[in-house]
Amino acid sequence: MKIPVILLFCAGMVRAQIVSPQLGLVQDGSRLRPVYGIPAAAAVLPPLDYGREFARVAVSPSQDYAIASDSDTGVVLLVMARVATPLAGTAANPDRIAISPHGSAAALWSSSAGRLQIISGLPASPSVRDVPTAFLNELPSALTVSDDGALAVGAWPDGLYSFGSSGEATRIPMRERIAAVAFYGSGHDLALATRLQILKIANAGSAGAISTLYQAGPLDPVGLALSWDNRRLTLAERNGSLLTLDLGSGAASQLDCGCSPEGVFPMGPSVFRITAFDGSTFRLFDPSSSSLFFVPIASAQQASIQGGAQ
Amino acid sequence: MRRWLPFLAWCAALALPAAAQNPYIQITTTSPLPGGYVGIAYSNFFRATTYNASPATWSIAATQPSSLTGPPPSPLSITTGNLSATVGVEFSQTLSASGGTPPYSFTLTSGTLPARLTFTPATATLSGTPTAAGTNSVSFTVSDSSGLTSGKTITITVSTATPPSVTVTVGSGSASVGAAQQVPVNLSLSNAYSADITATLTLTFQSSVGGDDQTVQFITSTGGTRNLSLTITAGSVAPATAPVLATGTVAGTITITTQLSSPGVTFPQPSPTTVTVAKGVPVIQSVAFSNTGGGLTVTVIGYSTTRDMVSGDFTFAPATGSTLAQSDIQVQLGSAFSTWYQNSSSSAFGSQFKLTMPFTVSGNAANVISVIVKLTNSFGTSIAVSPQ
Repeated sequence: MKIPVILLFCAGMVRAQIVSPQLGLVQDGSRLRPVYGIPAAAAVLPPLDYGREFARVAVSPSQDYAIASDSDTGVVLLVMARVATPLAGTAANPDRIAISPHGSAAALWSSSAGRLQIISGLPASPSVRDVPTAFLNELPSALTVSDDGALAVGAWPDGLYSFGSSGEATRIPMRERIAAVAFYGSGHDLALATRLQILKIANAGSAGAISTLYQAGPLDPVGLALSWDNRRLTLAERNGSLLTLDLGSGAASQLDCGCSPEGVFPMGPSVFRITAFDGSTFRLFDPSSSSLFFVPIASAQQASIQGGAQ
Repeated sequence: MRRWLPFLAWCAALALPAAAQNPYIQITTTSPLPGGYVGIAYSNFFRATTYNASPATWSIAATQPSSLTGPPPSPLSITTGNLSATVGVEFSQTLSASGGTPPYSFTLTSGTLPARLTFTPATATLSGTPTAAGTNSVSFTVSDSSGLTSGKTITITVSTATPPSVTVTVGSGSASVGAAQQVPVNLSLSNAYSADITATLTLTFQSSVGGDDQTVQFITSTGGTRNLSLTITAGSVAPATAPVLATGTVAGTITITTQLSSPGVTFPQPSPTTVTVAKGVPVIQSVAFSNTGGGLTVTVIGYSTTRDMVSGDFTFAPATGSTLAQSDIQVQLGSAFSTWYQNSSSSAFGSQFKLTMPFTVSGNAANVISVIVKLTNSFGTSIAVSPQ
């Protein structure tokens, strides 16, 4: 048997590139602002100019792109670096945009068009497929999509609906109303939160076993998400409580952010944005260290790096 | 004394003066009552009555027999506690009485209380938050259950509060803080003050390794700044919300100078608060690995508090069934990082960096599946980090 031997060569110092790190993007009304720095020492830079404004925006957890709808035309756009290009085949004016845990797929819900669209292969090779959902004309209270784009799950008053790659829809009846859902990274396991508990559905596509991750309600969830390594689950409540579950040990810890969370939005592998940018700051949460960070608007000197650092 | 009653009788009565009244006193006659008179002795009071006798003279005496033990009750009087108040500070003092026979009732009989102080007779309490310095004299009367009364004039002094000093601590109060943290800045006044105080905090950062770090700043919900004004409301010893200090990513000294101000008041000048961020090994926040396009790219995000870098160690892992001719590659990074840290734009984010390191591959790059990275600066070597 011949074993391939690979030789590695350092490309040399002339090709090593060093710049200020970019933490990601944050929505500021109808615009997007880049966020530079590491979580405890980051700053929000001036808005990027895409030559248009956005109505609805979802930033990828990988922070390398966003999906947005044009505020004038409703056209769905793939926003990367400083370019926003229409995503062919998508219905305009989606009511909800969900991006998968690692950012390789997205789901668009459009009540007016009466359809769910799943985009896989993001961001390099987007591919759109329609999922028939005419029987569901109500906006889901929560929506999530798996990284491979094979499954999307939405929450409606009568339970969860799972939409598979062949267009099949499976209803997973739930006794409690679902407030938040999130796929595990790189898989089809699903975490969901009700007002009483946090549950896990193994392989949501086949409505596998349901297990309880946390049960000490009442809860008032506004969002939940998992770290990229699926080790921790973070749930934010309307009253500012941040609940972190160590999914290995089952240990739970709680922290009051002293803020009003709008959700749990990954900014990279393990840090979550929990509040909207209000023009001055937004708040980040690092569940691995139970640390809360303010991210303020950039100073003039920090803002000046924007020209050459991207 | 003598008094004719028009139809029934006439009587004579004698009472002790108030100053001599005492429940242990017994009154007795020292000479026999004349015929036709009936005498009744009360404590502190003697009465003789007749229906038909002629006027007569006799003597009585007031004594405290030795068989009646216990000290005589003290005279009825008003007692008070501390009557010194401070402008802007809530004041409360309750009058009390001694002597006489409880319960007592109090009345403010004359004088004017300091502004915003009130007297509540039901509880005999003077209370309120005075608004101006000064001295006020007011008179009170106390009455006991037997109808005895006593008065007292008291002086209430309202003075301006002593200007407080301020203590500023960072985090746990230690002289050093870690890099890349956001820690609370705690302001505490030595005492509450009668008016709002503005605390102005000014931060300076002196790098010990050159350059600056714009991320070293105070952060509140309104943003980041190196000059922060906070209000400590009257009667409080701390601002409602503590700001946080972002410690940045460069070794150096953070100095916080605090000034207190309130109209017309001179506050003691507090000493600056100083904390240091120590030099340390590089900290790798994340590693990303890409094996597309016929080559490998390793992206490392982190910071180096020394604002320098010596080298990077990259250990690659092959896919199952493949072999690397060389799995460990050490790259000298001193020159590249020196150039970066001399660039003024690097100071905007301290010592943070995003290092993108390309490697060329002889063979199929897809057969290299992972990497472990260690970085070394002038202080030492980081822990090894692989992509998450």
